[in-house]
Formats: sequence, structure tokens, C-alpha cells
Amino acid sequence: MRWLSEVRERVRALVFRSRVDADTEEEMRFHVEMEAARLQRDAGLGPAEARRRALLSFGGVERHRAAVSDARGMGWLSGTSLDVKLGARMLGRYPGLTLAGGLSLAVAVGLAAAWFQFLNDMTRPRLPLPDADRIVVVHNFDRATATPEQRMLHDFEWWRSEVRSVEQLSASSTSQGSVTTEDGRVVTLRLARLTASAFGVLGVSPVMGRAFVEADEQRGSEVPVLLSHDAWQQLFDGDAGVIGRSLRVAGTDATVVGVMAEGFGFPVNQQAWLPLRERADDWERRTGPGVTVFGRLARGATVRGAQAELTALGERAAAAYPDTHEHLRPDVRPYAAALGMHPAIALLNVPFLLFLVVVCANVAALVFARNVARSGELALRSALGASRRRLVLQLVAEALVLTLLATALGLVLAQAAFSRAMALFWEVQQSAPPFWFQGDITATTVFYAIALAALAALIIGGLPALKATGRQLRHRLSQPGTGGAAPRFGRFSTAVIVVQVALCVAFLPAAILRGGELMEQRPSVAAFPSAEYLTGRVSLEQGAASRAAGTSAGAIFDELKQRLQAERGVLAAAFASRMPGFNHPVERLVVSTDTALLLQARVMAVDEDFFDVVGARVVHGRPFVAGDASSTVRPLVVDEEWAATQFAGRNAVGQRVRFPGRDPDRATWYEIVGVVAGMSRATGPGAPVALFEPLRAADPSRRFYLRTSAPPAALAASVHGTITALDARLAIDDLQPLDEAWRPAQQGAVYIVAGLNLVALVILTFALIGIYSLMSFTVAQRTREIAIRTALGANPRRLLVAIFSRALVQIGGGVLIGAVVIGAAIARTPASALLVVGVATAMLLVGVGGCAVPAVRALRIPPTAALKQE
Amino acid sequence: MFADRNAFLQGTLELLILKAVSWAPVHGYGIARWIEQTTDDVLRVEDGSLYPALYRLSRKGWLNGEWGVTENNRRAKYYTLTAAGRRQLTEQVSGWHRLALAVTHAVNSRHAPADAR
Repeated sequence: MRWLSEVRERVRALVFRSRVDADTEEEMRFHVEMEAARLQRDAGLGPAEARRRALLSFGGVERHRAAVSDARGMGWLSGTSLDVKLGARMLGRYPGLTLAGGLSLAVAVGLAAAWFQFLNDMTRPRLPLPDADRIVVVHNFDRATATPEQRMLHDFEWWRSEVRSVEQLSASSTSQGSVTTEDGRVVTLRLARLTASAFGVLGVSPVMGRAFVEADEQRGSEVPVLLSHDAWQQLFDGDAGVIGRSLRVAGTDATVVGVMAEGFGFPVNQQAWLPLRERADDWERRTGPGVTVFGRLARGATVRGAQAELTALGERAAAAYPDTHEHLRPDVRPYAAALGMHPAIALLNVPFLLFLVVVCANVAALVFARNVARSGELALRSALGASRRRLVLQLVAEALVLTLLATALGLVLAQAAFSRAMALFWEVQQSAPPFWFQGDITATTVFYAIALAALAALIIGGLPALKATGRQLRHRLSQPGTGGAAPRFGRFSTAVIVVQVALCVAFLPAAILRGGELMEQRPSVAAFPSAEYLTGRVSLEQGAASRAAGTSAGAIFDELKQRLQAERGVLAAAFASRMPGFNHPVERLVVSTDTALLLQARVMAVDEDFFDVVGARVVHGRPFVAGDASSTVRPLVVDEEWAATQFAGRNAVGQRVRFPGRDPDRATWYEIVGVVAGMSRATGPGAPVALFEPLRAADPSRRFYLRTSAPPAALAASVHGTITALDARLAIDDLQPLDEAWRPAQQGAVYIVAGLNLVALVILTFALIGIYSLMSFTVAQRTREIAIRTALGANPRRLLVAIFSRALVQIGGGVLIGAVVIGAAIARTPASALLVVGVATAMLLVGVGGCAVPAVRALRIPPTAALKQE
Repeated sequence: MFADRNAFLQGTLELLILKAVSWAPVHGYGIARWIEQTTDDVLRVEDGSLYPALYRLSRKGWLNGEWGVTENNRRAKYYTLTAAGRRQLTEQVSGWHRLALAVTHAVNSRHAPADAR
């Protein structure tokens, strides 16, 4: 284990550097003093003379100390610190490179780091709960439809009594609910119902008051409510005497029994908690409200063991209740893993890494040009005995100074942008962040960014260094004054320019066009009078909805619609499944005429008044009518634009479609009964919806759209009152004018466009700087040659043509390759072709400019001056 | 003076140090004096050059240095041979004998090279 002791010694020397230095010092001093004492004793010398001779025989103290440092394996450290100092000095000596390279690297690293943080938060949520990795969630999975089945009260109660590997099995359900305070204020909160055992599983207790106990689950007893820190502030202004106060929550009188710690929002972002009082006895199997089942792994139990136990129970249930449970199988997984997205989306980091590599390649080209300018210095160091490895290390260390500085700047930018971007993200998603979401750049991301800095330094410093310290290096020193012996980078620079131009031509127009497409959606939004609408979500509280299923829920909403229509200032009212344009589920479908072709479309459910209310026209067939939702025809209305592309001129009315995701038996067909025009305007800034289906009467949660004659904001209070007065179980959420609801998504689009354009601008600017410097450098290298050829009578115009044609070939080659790569895309529209021509022209102009300045200068220099130059 | 025979010493200094510490713990100054005395001043070390070698051997795990106190109550760093160091000493000693014998044979030889004219 010699290497081990060596590593240990080195680490010790590094960590305790000053102590080890002091030890060496003392050891040497001891030596000299002992020798001086001997000389005094044996040779009878005086103290001063004895010490002088002792020092003489010891040799140069400083030299030996440096040798000791080398022997300890510390030599590299002082070498590296020298490299770092040199690197810092280089930053000042080449400010153009520092500024252009540093800023573009900072943008690239900052983007990569922020994106990494976002994906990390999405794929690997970390629950801020004690021993969170022992918390598991149990889903019931329907293998026939490949969907989870949440209506599992029966299974939950059975598992609770049977399962041994998971302790304190608990259930939760979530909903929105109106909460009324004693003084009559009404707010809508995100509610969760929990079994009392949940607090044991989560390992948390309220900061004030008490958690739920089993008795709280009994019906008939007083309903306790726990408040989140925020809800406590919002409803009671943080009053310390809140315990025992009354609230009306989702139509029930409740008493506040506790306040949870700040930041707690289990299961997602909930603001108040009620005990779960649902009983399996009230429901048939696979009916009733959906619940999420979770628990804590028993001591010594594993997820695998728990899975085996629950699989066995699932098989027993399938045998006992084949009608409902034949395809159901329980699935156990760690709670955090169930929350996170699939780890494979980490692959989405790759485009950002590629962007960084492209930026690095640009900087590397400039660094190479700088190295050529420094080739004299490098050759001298090599002649003085520096090995190639040493020189490469020096250049990499210099680059590392630049990349680390850029990374620090990038992280600062990322931190500043990330929390704002995340706030915007949740606003666009129309939800609050989950309670485990921090919205900060974490240490993991900082390490990732530092690794990126190291990678960038290897590319920026390493590749040019290998080229610059090649065989030609000594040659350069041995033939001073002959010119042309500096490392030529004709082929290298050609490659860099061609690749650079190709990348820009291939990707910049695509990015700019994508941005343009996003922006184009705005006029259509502007064309829609969204300021004349009031919108909101109204939900029938969940347990009530399940019990009131079918006609009675429908009756409540019918009554609600009539009352809303009668409201003063309301011209018309309609219901829809969601806010048009937001997060509509994408469904796969097949059309009966070509069942082999799987299409994708966004689907939204609307009532029969919806098209009228938003001012869309049914241009073929018919709109929805009352009774469509329960019709055996299963009618659909399609968007005109979508129908035009999908049915290519054929009449869409009468076509039949099927949704494979909805019915695995492939037997349920839907019929297109109408084609609607103008809906793309009414779906706001989001992706267009292609298919509309009738809103089912039993749907417990829906959006309302009110067209108003007065400013909609002024109606909000009275609309709120009308809804809660109708039925206290109705919860209202997101009540706001439609244009305000759309604003975050519009802003989101603007930010995305701004971001894309910033990246495009950085790439383009840097590519232009890179091309200019490479061109100008390659021509400047030939100054002497050009001057001598002019002196010998060469035609200056022919010389210039030769120089410029080379630039034309290089840039033209890049344009050609880039155009081939992106060929299909640019051929699509004249605008995109124009963009490619624009980018190519800009590069050509800059390239020619880069050649022109040094070439013209070279032509003016008298040959004698040119000869002296070397 | 040994400094004049630098290249020669480089190869043998490590061997001499390992030998010097093979009996008992000894400090750097003691090692220098021992080399001087046992080689009758033929191999005289420029004293300072001993220390890089000591640190090199410590790093290789052949020596172990620990602070102790001299007879005069002075703090000094004492070096001992580790197990790996002892194996190394045995190897280097036998290597040295083979080398010395070979060189002795060569310089005492009475036969001219076969290709000599």
C-alpha cells in the first residue's frame, strides 16, 4: 500500500502545510545548531565563527527548503499558484478575450447550472421530513388501462389491518375549499384530509396546538382543522390565541386545533388540514373519493419486501373480487421517488452542455491565437527545461482562472434568475410550489458548475496548449528571424471558422424563428377581448361531490349557471373543464379512416353555451346541445384549423375517432358533429385546443367564463357571494379577469423569447468576434510575406483577391454545411431562408473585415520594415 | 567532499540513510555525522541535501519521522525504519553488493575487449 501512505503524506502536507513547513524549519535549525556546538567543542571556535561554518557546510538553506518541498510532493503547488498568478495577469493583458470569453462562458455556465437545478428539483425531490427515505406510497395500479386507481378506500382499510412491512398506513385526499372566518371573510384554501396516523408517518407535529388523534376521525364529533403557517397569518394575522377559534371550512363548522410549522404543506402545497372521515362502508368497491395511501417502512423492512407483501394481497383481492380487482395491483415506492419525474429527463441537460462546448470551442480558438502570439515565451520556457506536460498544465491553469471567474459570475446570475424564473413557472402553471421546493441554487449545483468550469478549462486551455506545444515549438527557437515558423494554424483556424459558421447558420435561425412563433401568438390573444371576461374555478367539495354524483351535482351547477347569468353586469355564462389554453391534457387518438395513424391533440370539455360566450362560430355541423354529455353518439366538435390539416379538405363532420388511452377495448367511438372557427383566439397564450367534448354533469370541478358589460374585476365580489350563497360546499378559486389570468403565461412566453434571443445573441456576437480575430490573425501572420511580395512587384489587387477568396471559401463552406444540416427547416418559409442569408452575410462581412484591416496594413508597410519585424 | 561526486551520492544516499536508521531511531544530524564517520569523510554530504532525501523516503513510506527529545533536552525529529523500509534496505544492500562486485571484477580484469585492435 505504498501509494496509500504516499497519498496520506501528500494530503497531510497539503492540509497542514504551514505546520509541516515549520517542522522543516525547526529540523534544519537543530542541525545547524548541533554542528555549531560541535565545532565550538572540538575545534575551539568562537560561537559566531562556529555558526558561520555550520551554515556553510549545511549549504543554501533556501535551496534545501525548496528541495524538501519538492520531495514532499508540494512542488506542484507552488508551480500551480504561479500558474494561477500568471493566469490572472493574462486576464488583464488580453481584456478583449477576458471580457468576450468570460461573459459568454458565464451565460453558458449559468444557464446550464440553473437548468440542472430545475431538473434536479423535478427528478429528485428531497422531502424536508425526518427519515424521509423510509416513507413509502402505495398506489393501486390498473394494468388494463395502465392508470393508477385512486378510489381505494376498501383496499386501504383492508391493507391497514393486514400489512406488516409498512407501519401506520395512512390516507390523504386533497381538494379546494372555501373557508369563512368568524368576521365573514371568505378565502379559498387548498385542503387536505388526513388520517390521524399521517403525523406519525411524517414525523412532524404542529408548532402550536395538537395534531389529529384517532377520535377526530369519528363522524359526529367536532371537526378539528390544522392551519399552515401562511393560512394562520392570512386568516388570523398570526394571532397566538388562534387555538379554539371557529372557521367554516368547505361547508362545515370547524375548530382550529393547531398551526403547522412554516414551509409545511403536505402532501403538496396544502394550506389547511381536516381529518379524513370517509369510510369504505359508504361505498361500493372502486367507487367513492380518491385517496393517496402512504406509510413508513417498518424496522428492517425494505421497499422490495413491502412490494412482495402487497402484491400477495393484491392477488388475493383479484381472486376475491374479480369484477373490480381483476386488473388492480398495488405498487409500493419511496414517497420522494413517486413525486419526482423520471430520472431519464436528466438527459435534458445535454443540450445545455453542448451549448457550453460550443462556447468553449469559440474561446479556445481565441486562446489559440493568443498562444501563437506567445509562442516565443513558450519556446523559451521549453528551452529552459519545462516539459510539454508542464507547459500544458500551465495553460490549462490559466484557462481555469478564466472559467472559474466566469462560473462564479454565472452562478450569481443563475441564483438571481432562478428564483424569479421559478416564481414565474409556478404562476404560469397556476399553482403554488410544492412544500419541498426550495427555489435556490444548491451545493450540488455549485459542484456541478465547478465541474463544468474544469471541463471548460480543459477545452479552452488544453486543446490549444497541445497544439501550441507541439514539435514546432523548439523549431521556432532554433530558427529565429525566418518568420513563418510560428505554429501555423491555417488548417486549424479553417476548421474552427467552418464549424462556427455552420453551427450559427444551423441553429440561430431555428432559435430566432421559434422565438418569433411564440411572439406571433400574442396578436391573436390581443384580438380576443379578454378584458371583458371574468373567470374562476368552482369545485364541489370532494366528498360531497362523490355522494352528490350524477344528477344532483349537475343540478347544483345548472342552478349556479342560471344565477350567474342573472347577475347584474353579466351578459353570458359558460362552463369549461379548464381555463382555455392552459395545461390541457394531450390525448392520443385515431381516426376511423386511418386507424394505423396515431394523432395527438389537446382536448377540453365545454358546455353548450361555451362557443357562444367566447364568440366562436360553428362553421359546419352543429354546436353542443343539452343532453350531448349523456348521448350514446359521444359527440365532438373540432377546431377548424386542426380539421383542415388532419382531414385535408374532406368534411370533418361525420368522422369518427377513438381514444386508445381511454378505452383499451378499442370499442368506443366518438363522432365529430361540428367544426368551430375562432377558438384559437379564445384559448389564450397557451397551446391551441383541437377537440372539444361536452362537459359531464357530474364533473365536480369546472371553470366558469362570464362575459361582462362592466369591468370584470368590479363584479368579482358579488359573483363570489352568489356562489357561496348557493351552496357552502362550493369552493371558488382563481377568481379574476381573464386577461389577468393570461398575463403570467404571456409574460412567460416573453421571457422564453427573451432568453432564446439572448442565447442567440451571445452565440452570434461571440462567433463574429471569433471569426474576426481568427481572420485578422491569420492575415497578420502573413504581413511579412505580403510586404515582400509587394516589393518584388506582385499586383496588390491579386494579393488581396487571394486573401479574401480564402475567407470566402471558409465562410461559404460553413454556410453550406450549416444549411445542409438544417436544410429541411430553412426551406420551409421565405422568412427563415432570409434569416440564414442574413446570418451568413453578417459572418461574411465580419470575416472580410477581419482580413481587410491587416491586409491593407501589410500592403502599406515598406519591405524593409516588414523584414525588421521578426 | 561529497558534493563533488553528486551523481554518485544521489544513488547511494538513500541506501546510506536506510542503513543509518536500521539500528535505532536517529535524527538528521546524527545520520549526517554517521555517514561522515563510517565513510572516513570520503562520502561527505552537504548537510542540507540530506533533508530532501529524508522527506522523499518518508513519503515513500520507508521512514517514519517522529518528534522526540535529545539528551540535552532539545526537540529533534527522530527517524525509524518501517517494515517496508527494512525490505527496501535488504534489496538495496544486495543490489549494491552485486554492483560493487561487478565493477571490481571489471576494473581488476587482465583481459582486453575481444574487438580491441
